[in-house]
Amino acid sequence: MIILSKKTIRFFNKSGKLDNTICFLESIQKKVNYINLQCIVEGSDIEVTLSGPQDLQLLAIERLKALADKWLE
Amino acid sequence: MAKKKSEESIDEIDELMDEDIQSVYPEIEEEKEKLEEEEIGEFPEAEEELGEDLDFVIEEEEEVPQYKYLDIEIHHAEGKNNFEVIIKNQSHGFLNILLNHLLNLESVELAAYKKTNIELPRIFIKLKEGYNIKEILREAIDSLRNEVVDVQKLFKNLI
Repeated sequence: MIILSKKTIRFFNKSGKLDNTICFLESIQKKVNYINLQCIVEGSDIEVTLSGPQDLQLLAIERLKALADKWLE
Repeated sequence: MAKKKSEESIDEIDELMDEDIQSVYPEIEEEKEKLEEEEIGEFPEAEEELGEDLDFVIEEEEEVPQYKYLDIEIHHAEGKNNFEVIIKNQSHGFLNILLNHLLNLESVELAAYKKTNIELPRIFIKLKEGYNIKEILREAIDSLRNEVVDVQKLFKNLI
């Protein structure tokens, strides 16, 4: 049984560089697949909304965390 | 006595010679047999006449089901025990039902499919530790086949 839900995660760009935010978003496009996602950027805040099956959301969150460690620290 | 012995020895020599000849020229005899079979099979009209004379009707053999083969590529995806299976020329219907059967297996942790107009359709599969992707795909296809056979039987009963 596939359970569909919606989840929102917020990231903060500690480096403060716009280039890093852009790289973060581009890498999300490449690495996070098989799920619908919406990104909103306001200054250093990045809001990512995931919608789809829960198991795929968990996989996406894992990958998002790894990417955030790489680009937003 | 001497004559009997000599006759036995001659027989033994003949048998040995026959064996030698058979070992050296086995193909010629096989070819002859094949030729004889072909010659026998060259008279379809005669067979038809025989069939008409017979009282019983020869039943035609049932048609063998024609299988459709899938073009599949299996690739390792990012991460441990993650695989991507590319299935060519298949629709949402097939991908969706195959995915449901995959998710029913205990060894599959998560599975998802993607079909766009740009890329070939692909299924993402994450397995638990110690399982083989090919065996999992076979299991899923077997269960899908069983379901199709059950549905066929149901429809036959309805008709």
